[in-house]
Amino acid sequence: MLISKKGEEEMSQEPLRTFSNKNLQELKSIYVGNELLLFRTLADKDNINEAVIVYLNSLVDEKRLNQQILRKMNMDLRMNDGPTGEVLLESLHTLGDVNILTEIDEIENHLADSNFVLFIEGYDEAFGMKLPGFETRAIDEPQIELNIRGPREGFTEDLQKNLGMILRRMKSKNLKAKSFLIGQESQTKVMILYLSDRVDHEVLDELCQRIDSIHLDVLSDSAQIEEWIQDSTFSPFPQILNSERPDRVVTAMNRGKIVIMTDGTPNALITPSTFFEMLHPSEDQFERFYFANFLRIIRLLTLIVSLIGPSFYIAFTTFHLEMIPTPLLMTFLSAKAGIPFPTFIEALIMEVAFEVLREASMRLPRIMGQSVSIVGALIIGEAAVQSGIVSRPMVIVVAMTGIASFTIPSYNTAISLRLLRFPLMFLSALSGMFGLSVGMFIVIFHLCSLRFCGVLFLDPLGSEGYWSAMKKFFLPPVKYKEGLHSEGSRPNVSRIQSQKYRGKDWE
Amino acid sequence: MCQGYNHKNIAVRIGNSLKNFVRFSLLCLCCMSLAGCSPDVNEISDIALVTATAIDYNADTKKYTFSAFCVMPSNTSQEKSSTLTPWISSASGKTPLDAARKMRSRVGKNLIFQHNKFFIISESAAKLSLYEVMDYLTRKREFRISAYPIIAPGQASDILKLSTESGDMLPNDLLGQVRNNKLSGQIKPLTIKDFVDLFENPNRGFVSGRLKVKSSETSDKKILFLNGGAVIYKQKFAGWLEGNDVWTLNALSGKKYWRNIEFNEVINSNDGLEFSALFHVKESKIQGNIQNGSPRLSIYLKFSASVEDLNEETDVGDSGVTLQMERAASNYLEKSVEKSLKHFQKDLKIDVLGLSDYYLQYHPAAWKLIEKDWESLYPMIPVKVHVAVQFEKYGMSTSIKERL
Repeated sequence: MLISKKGEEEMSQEPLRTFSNKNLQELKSIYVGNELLLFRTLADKDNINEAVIVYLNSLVDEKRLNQQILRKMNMDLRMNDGPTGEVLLESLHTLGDVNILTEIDEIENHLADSNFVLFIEGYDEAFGMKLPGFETRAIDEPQIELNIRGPREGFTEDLQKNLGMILRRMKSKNLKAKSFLIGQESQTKVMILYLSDRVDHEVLDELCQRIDSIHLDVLSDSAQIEEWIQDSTFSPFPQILNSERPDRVVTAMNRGKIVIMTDGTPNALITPSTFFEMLHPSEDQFERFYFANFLRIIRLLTLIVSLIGPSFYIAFTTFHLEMIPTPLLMTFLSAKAGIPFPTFIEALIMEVAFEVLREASMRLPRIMGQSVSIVGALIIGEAAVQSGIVSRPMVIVVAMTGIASFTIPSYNTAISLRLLRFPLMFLSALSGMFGLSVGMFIVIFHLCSLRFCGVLFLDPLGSEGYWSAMKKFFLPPVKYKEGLHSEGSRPNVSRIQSQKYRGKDWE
Repeated sequence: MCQGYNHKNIAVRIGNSLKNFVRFSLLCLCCMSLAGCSPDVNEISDIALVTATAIDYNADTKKYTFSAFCVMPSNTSQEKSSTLTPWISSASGKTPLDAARKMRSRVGKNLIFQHNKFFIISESAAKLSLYEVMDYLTRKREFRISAYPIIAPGQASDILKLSTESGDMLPNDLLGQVRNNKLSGQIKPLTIKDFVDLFENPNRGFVSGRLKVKSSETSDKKILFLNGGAVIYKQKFAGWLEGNDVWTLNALSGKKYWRNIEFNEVINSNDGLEFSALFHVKESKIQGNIQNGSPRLSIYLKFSASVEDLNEETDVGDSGVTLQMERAASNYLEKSVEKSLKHFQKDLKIDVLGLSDYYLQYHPAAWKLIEKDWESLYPMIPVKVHVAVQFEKYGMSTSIKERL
């Protein structure tokens, strides 16, 4: 099932020599100054190391190495009279999977990948065995994508554990995995997973090329991959969905998506993603379709509110007073009396204050963060009004906008909407609804122009018929959805998305 | 389709994108500095809302007086309860525009007319200079065409100073009265849009809202209320109509006027039974023809009704009794409609029902022949009124007398 691949380009390859001392000296010269490289001699004869184990401290489980592997090898050496090399190899094979290494580069890679390597005098090969000894976080509930109903486990920083979580859920023979090593120095393992019968192979080929083209010294998070492979570098919108939930990843693969898993980060990337997928959390699958669809509509509304809420307020109360119903305008009149700032400045103060508080409460430890939010809310909500700096309706607008942005499940998308809110506010203050309309035209044109590997970012809008789009946007009951699958029309498969745009230039 | 990644090309492409991005960002920064610089900015804290306007015309000086009922907050934002202070601003000028501009220039706030609901036009202005006033009101975009032009006897600016029975602000109270017209049907509140549509027609007149002043029944102050109508004919005020006539007019106008109206009447039956009933127009139809150059008309009105109270024990379940009640109600309403029509034809001699429009629409050839004589023909048109009343509800109790 798994297709392994030597990811990095072949560098200068130095073959091993039969004299283990020579090999060790070469290894020492490579790791000069690195005190983490440890040597454990198993047997020596006439000042010649007949067998030496080499490993990088902290990466290998020393306790197991000492108590199980070295003890057993020493015991076998004492009890058997045969040649040292043969005895040791036989002993090693009984302890686990042995990798035969013939080049220095291979040894370097294996040492970095928490292997210990056994050098035996007279052999032009070394023998590696994986014995990871570093601690990893236990599987925990996802911190960002919280669900009321549904699976509770989330990805960790350990790629193997994450893969295990996915494979446990998806046992299909069509599940394929392809690995890459990214980062000149970090040599981080990256895997792409997909279902071969559902994936769009053109998108897959393109994605592989893009991942191959990544040239980084250190890959510390999947965000770097995301930035590197996305089509539009300067777009404020994230074009690739990230998730820390294995169930979501499995659902995505079932829809023909390609999943990129990176070692050292709990965030899997799901490609090709569309804008509307970022508005739908995995929980939609676990709720009754009425409620799920109701929430989808609510989220669309909150999307609009979070993007243009303050801009609307500025435009209406500064340029288009005739559009406000008379009783409401009278309330606004009373509420705004004595406020020294223009509405736009008022909105700007409140929005910036809100963002500052949000950021502060997020960066602080959780307990302190809560108290900062409470104090901040008090300052914004009451003190600012009492001191006559901002009006009450403005507090409501900013609070509503802020809360609305929190309903968007994708954190990245919520950030982009929050960012876009500011230029739209400026445009509203410049020329009212006209400015806001111009701003929204720019945003919508930009969204329409976005693609990922040829797949429309706004899919299903514009790529399919009205009914197909409705089927994709709204969640049908499971039975109905399965019926659609059996008829051969999979409404959510990305292959369909790119078929319409076959031949489009990625660039 | 899939193109290989040439790093040099990528670098060039990213460089170009970066340049565009920087240019776009600089443009955005420039735009940001312009925020709030528009001359159209109207800060909410600098405005006063005009909710009613009075327009007077002095025939001697030939000057218009523009008075505005303005509202502005009297509290500060820190106070929890919001209060609004009404005040009246007034100015005179040679034209309506001149008066309005003078008035605006004398107040310390930007007057916003978009929320103005009523234009109270004095009788003198309506008689002598209605065209100029309506022309000004329809030319300016800031006056909403959904506002109600209302004719009032005496000085219109004085009316703005009067209080209402509820104690609410004048425009709010008047708006409530317009809404409550469905309870009596005795108001004909035309919007500026409808007013202007009918204004130019030389053959027919129309009825607009009328404001009355009366003494309060609970206190000694004078209060305002909407009742009856003002007849406009040939772009001038031509007379007043009382509430009952306006009711007939509403019943014989378009469905939008009578659809929601439910009025009550006290009916006396021949056998001494007196009962009150609520009536609702179900169908209203005017049919006419022209025979030998003389037009004739038939009016058909259907009402649904519900009995609300009776003066004596009556078995309303008996079909004979209900039939008699229906006949009595039909006769009563028929006479009421005939009386109003007689007033329109014989006293006013103005086609307020729009019969000329009916003939133009349904008998265009004959209309051409009678058009020039319409003014003399109209009072002579024989009109036959047919009213049918059907009682649909008689209440929950048939008798309140104790059964032995």
